[in-house]
Amino acid sequence: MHIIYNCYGGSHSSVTAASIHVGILKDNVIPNGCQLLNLPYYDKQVAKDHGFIRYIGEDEYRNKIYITSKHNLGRNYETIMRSLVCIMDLSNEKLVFVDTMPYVNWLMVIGGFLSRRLGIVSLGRPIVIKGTQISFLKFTQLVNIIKIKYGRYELECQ
Amino acid sequence: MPIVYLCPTGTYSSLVAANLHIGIIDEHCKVQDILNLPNFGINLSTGIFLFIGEDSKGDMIYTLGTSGEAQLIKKSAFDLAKIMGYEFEHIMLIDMSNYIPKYFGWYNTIFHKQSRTFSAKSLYRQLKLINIEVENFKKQEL
Repeated sequence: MHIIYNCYGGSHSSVTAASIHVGILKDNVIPNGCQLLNLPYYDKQVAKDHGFIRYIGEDEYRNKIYITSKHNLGRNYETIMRSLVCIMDLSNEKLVFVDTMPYVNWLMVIGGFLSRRLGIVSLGRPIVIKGTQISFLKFTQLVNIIKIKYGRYELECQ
Repeated sequence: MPIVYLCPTGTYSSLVAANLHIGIIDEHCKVQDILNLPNFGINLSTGIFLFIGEDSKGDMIYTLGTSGEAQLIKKSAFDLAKIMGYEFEHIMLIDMSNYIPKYFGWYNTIFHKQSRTFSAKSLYRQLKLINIEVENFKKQEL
């Protein structure tokens, strides 16, 4: 399976969830600022990077985990991508799109905007880190649901 | 090879370009001909593609609404194709969003009936430019 976590800018919530999924972050320990900043792509992507699908790693079920950004497309992003897959005459079955936006809090929105959009990293970064730490257990819960659902699917297929 | 024309709704500039591509209309057509195109200006959910037809070379022509994020979708599609082991050279995505005003989405939502005629006239005025872009693309394809 190809599991693609997606959020507005592909810099914070999707990166955090994907990192939990592949085991870079432990799912029961809230990470500190340093650990978050060491994650691949965390608070690093800028406007020109938006849209690219970045590979993060593989989970224990051999699912491949990716992140991407979708701006304000919301659920339409998945519809568009699945339409394109259909046009390419490929199978949609092995693709999973996971929207991490419902778990993003206001601190992440404000911090992310200051850091990524306005470039005020010194002000935005601590705010977005705090926001990520507050929502961390929600991302953990989301990842566990995805793992149970699609890990089991993969095992059943084998 | 599938050729996909993109615009915010998939039923305006992309639809006109796709119909120019397969020759249902040409650059000398009238506003009424644009209004009479099947599916022109219909309310279509974002992300639902329309099959327009086949061109003289047997390529399948589609339109797709990307809600003003055509460039982002092109990047994602390129990467997704790689992930799925598909050669991206086998699909063409052409962004026609430039021929639609940026505020059009809101206008279309509020004044849908008027916007159909308004956009047909607007696209009619830009028909030569759209046709040049389509023809240039066809030459590149050769």
